[in-house]
Amino acid sequence: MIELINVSKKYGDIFAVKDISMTIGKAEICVLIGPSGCGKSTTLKMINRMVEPSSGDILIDNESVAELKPELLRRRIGYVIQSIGLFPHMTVGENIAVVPRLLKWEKSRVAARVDELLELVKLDALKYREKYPSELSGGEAQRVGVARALAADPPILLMDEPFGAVDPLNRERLQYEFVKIQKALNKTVVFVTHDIDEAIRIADKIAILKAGELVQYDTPENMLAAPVNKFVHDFVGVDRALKRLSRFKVGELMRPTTSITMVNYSTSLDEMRKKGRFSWVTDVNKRLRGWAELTKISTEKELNEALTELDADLISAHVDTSLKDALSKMLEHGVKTLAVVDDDTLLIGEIRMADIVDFTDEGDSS
Amino acid sequence: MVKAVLPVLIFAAFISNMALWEGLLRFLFPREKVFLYPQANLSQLVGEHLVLVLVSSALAIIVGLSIGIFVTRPAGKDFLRIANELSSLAQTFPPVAVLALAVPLLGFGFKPTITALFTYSVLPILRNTIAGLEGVPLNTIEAASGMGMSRLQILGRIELPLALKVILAGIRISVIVNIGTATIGAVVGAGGLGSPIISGLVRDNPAFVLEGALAAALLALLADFLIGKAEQSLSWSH
Ligand SMILES: Nc1ncnc2c1ncn2[C@@H]1O[C@H](COP(=O)(O)OP(=O)(O)OP(=O)(O)O)[C@@H](O)[C@H]1O
Ligand SMILES: [Mg+2]
Repeated sequence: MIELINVSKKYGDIFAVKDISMTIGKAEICVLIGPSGCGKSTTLKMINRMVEPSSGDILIDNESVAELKPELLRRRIGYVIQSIGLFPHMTVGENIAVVPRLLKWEKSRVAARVDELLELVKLDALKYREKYPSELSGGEAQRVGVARALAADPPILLMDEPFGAVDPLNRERLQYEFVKIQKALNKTVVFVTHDIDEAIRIADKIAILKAGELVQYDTPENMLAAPVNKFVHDFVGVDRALKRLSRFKVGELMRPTTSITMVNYSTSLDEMRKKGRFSWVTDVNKRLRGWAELTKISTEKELNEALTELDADLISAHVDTSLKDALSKMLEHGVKTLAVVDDDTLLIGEIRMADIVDFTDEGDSS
Repeated sequence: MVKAVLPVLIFAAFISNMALWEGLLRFLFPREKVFLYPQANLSQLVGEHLVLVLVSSALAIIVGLSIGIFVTRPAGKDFLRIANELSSLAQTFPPVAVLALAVPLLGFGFKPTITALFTYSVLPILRNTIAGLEGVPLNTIEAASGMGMSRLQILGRIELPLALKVILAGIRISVIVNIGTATIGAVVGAGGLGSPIISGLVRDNPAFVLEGALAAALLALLADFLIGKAEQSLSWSH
């Protein structure tokens, strides 16, 4: 847990950071966001004492960082700087090994750790260990930067726009992988970005800064539903309702559904007709096959005729898909309902456009 | 390693083969009566020359590196400008003038020659050390510091390795110029490959001049080659 207590940093007469107090919970990703020059990097760097606060205190697990020797403190905190800063004269492996070596780990342990971390960030250890940073693509370098920060298994990670220099597509993949790693390793992360989409995608909590001051500190859901003022409102953007949908999963609005099986549909057919005109059709294993208009069915032969067999991908959403992605799929294919499937693509429910729209309204009024 | 040793051996064999030199100079200057500088043979002269160069260059490397490191630290940054100006100014200063100034202060012989050579060769090393260290990207240093390296560790593991290429280039220039400049040592009685050159000029015997000059040139080429090899094997960028 990291606590900032009335922390300020002054350069001359100007406050780079002004009286910030916030608590970052253990194993949370806290994203600092705001316009350029608002004090994000300064706030981050005060945590590992790269910058000394002018006033206030910072506690890590109830211990003031001011009382720790900076070098020792920093070896316990992973750090990815704004431009990654890989050491160009060291191989990827040597870069990752820097902190373990400072901590005087045994050689064999360091080597094993390097390989383990490369696999963790999805780089082939054999292929990348001996490469130099100049031989890496932007995305690969970012991965190595993350691996290096994780090297000595620090409980805390400070990351200053770690994915800044990557194209949007790779960036999204890196974010996704990073969140997975973070959840698996339970790291407490302070993450700086000026990309609101990135913040919404990865944050447990977002802190919006403006001219050195903390404007709002909240979960992305709450921040999108209820911006505290016009600044936050404008910052999160006009499509905040849509952005908010990206924070929720299909599973949260899923309804139970009925389906007919290719073989024994007849038993429940009457029941189902009362509920609606259409039904999902699955095979005996509950695997989605398509949908059928119930009024047209009475015999097995008719089912085959009434069945609109479709690629399951087109008419279904995985239970963990975001509401935003589900909605755009509905719009794209011109349907009002999607089947919901689990990891094994088995039908487990359905999601309706009307429910998503209602949900957005709820968020807006709160 | 083998590739570095071979040219040294060839050079040594060539320098010690006086019959070959005599034949070469006789062929080039058939009208002279004496072809080889009589006071000392070439190996001796090369030996004296090497001592002058090695001692002055070693001092220059130690001092140049130290000052260069000092003025790029927070504690020494007040002296950075002065060091920069000094090192660029001295490039316009001829080595003969340095020697001329050293004699009245230190007298004739080995010491004033070393002093003059040292003064002249320390400057390119200083200049390149400063340039190399200042060329290390700030974000690289910040990353190192943020990972918990101490100042000394940052200097030893990050800054110096990254500046090495530029520093070695400075040393290379300095040593090569030094080999040429050291011939002036003969004027004030420090010996070396300058002796046959001076003697040849005084006695109007071009064979002596060529003997000294050619050997000095070969020595410079050899040094260039060896430092180049060191540069290649020590520097990380390919
Ligand atoms: N060493 C310094 N000396 C003087 N002013 C500084 C220093 N470092 C930062 N500042 C100022 O403090 C303010 C906050 O800087 P900071 O680097 O924290 O901004 P940031 O939010 O990270 O911006 P960006 O998104 O551009 O990285 C800026 O106005 C900056 O000019
Ligand atoms: Mg910044």
